[in-house]
Amino acid sequence: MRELFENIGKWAGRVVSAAGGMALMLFQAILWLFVPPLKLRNTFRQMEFVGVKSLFVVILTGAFTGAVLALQSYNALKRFGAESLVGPTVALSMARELGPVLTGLMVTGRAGSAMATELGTMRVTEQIDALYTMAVNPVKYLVSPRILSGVLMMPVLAIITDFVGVLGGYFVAVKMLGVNSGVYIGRTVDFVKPQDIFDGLIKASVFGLILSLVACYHGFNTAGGAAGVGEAATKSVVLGSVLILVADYFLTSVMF
Amino acid sequence: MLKLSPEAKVGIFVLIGIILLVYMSLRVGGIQFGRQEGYEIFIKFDSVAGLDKDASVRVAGVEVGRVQGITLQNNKAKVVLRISADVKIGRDFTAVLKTKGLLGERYVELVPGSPNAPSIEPGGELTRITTYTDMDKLITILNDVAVDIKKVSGSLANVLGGTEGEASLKNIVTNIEDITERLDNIVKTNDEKFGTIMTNFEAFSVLLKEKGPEITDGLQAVSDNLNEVIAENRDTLKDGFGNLKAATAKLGDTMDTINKLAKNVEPKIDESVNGINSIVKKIDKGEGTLGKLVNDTTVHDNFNKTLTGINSYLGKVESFKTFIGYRGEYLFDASDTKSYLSLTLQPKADKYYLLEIIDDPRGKKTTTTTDTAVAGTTTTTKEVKTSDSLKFSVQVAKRFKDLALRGGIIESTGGVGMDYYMFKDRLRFTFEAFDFDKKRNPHLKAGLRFSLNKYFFITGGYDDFVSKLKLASPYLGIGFHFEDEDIKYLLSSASSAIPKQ
Repeated sequence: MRELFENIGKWAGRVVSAAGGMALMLFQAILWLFVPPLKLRNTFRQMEFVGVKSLFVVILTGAFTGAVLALQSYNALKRFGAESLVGPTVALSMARELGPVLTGLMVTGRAGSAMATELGTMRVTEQIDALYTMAVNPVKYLVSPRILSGVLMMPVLAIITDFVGVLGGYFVAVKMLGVNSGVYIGRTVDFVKPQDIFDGLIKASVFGLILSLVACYHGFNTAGGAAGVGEAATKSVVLGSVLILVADYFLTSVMF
Repeated sequence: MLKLSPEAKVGIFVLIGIILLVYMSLRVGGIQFGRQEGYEIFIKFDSVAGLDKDASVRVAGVEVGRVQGITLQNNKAKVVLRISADVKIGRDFTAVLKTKGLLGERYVELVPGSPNAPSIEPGGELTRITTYTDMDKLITILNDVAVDIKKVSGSLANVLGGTEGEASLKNIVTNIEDITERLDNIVKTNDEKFGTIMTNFEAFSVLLKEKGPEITDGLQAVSDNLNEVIAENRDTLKDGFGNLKAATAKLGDTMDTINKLAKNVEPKIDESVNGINSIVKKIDKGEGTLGKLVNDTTVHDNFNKTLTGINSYLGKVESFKTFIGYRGEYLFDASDTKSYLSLTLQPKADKYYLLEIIDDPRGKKTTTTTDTAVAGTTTTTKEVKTSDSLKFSVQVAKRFKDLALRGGIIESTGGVGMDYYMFKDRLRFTFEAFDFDKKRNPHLKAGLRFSLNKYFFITGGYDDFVSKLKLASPYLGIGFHFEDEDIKYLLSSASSAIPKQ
């Protein structure tokens, strides 16, 4: 019994300290971002890793999500004779929700886990300690570029997901299900407002911040050798995904 | 393969993202980016339920602007529209709130007016507004229509269905039965009669054959006798023939008079026909108006009103009565007869119009002045001659219980009259005053009229009793009048719509 309460207490303590640690790390990362010399080359390398290299997986996800959305909404809307609304349904869902969220989840799985593993390995092999000894701030050198690249690259990935998703939906609805192409595009243009897309991009940016921060925090605080590195990767992916979905709800309730 | 630096790769990647973003925003945003371009106008609607900010503004379905804002002003919705600079909105444009599809979003449609109208300056107000029926109103109207249709079918059912309708249908069938029966009877009876007639003929011819010589002898004797009679009365016969001749001459004169009359009337008939022609032409031209009427949304209400009007009109027609009458009055002093042909139009029990054509033997008064000079003194003799003439009376009459007052044109001059009814209208005292002339005194006429039965009456009294021309004369007359339904229906324009009872 005492053990149970001890565990609850420990867990609560861990949650609180993790939240505090992440906030502290974010604060430091932002602070170091504005302190020269700027590690531009490092940042671009991270951007390439988070953004460019995630492109293929994001395109696949977006295309098939749009396609399946078109298929499902067509079957539902056909019952009301409202097939013309397939376009708006796909476009609005992609722009507002699925584009940012799915991109966030994919990037978490791909880049977030990689970040955590990389930083964790550096931690257990004492490379981070070495940086300290070389008077290089590891937060400035390692964390700031990663968080910046997450915040900047996620919206770009999300807009690509949106576009590819609409294309996928168009392909399925028009080419396979026989919805009139003019109606599909016309209705989409009628119903979707630029604000929908912009809000989705803001979401994506916030998701980028969450996933890179969580990954960096867990990688930075890895302990316990190779097993600890694996645990850090797993934790960062799970917590990152959960936080993205939770944040999505609150962001949606605030924005729309 | 070209080896790109991370910066270049990220640059290309970001560029792709920006291009996509701009493309998508432009596609879905329409002219949103050029939002502050163009000019503002405003419209005041009674209600803009369902209209949102940024809703599109369209002319002929083409988007020309957006709704900039909606505010409440004096309990009316003031909608500010931003119109693109290259679109001119005329002052006579009509603003309509429309819905995309049945359930779609609302937008403002501006319906163009005439192409020459001046356009609204920026910041001006568009005052013409048409409210289109929304679903609720449409359903209400449909409901009203259904109620109306129900009423119509109900009255049809009343006419054909009820006991009355059944009875009249039954009557019709009975009448037809009766007629066929009678026809049958007639044929049967005539059959017998024919037989009888033929038998009689046969008997007669036999008789002729047998008694032919005898009859011839008898005829001979009769002609002999006739000859004798003629010889004896030759002179008397001569006189008779002379009288006959005079009578024929008089008949000829009468025919001449009638001919003249007809000639006088002929141009008037021509005029009437022309008048009718022009009226018909005007009605023909009325087609355009009809078309407009049908397109008008208020036709439904008007139709209802018209139906009510027709109903009351039919009621009036039912109480409408017309009488045709004739009376002749023998004037003792003139030894001649004055004839009246009258048409009474009685729209209500207490009101009637009286139209009369009067053949007055003393209608025309010609005064001849003869100056005769005898031994220096001139004697002036005035002589009044009267001759036959046709006169007209058109009078409006209103009856108050037993007293009826009438007035208008009496015998082609202005006049008034009064009738007092006694003994349930069987006896009537009549007094008329007309032809007001100071020199001759007005023409006054008083008399009594007694109805013998529904159709015939006798009349008597004293005519023109204050005349200075010594035309006063007692009179006695007889006449008849009857109600004529056909004239009534001829006069009511809705003749074909009214079933005959």
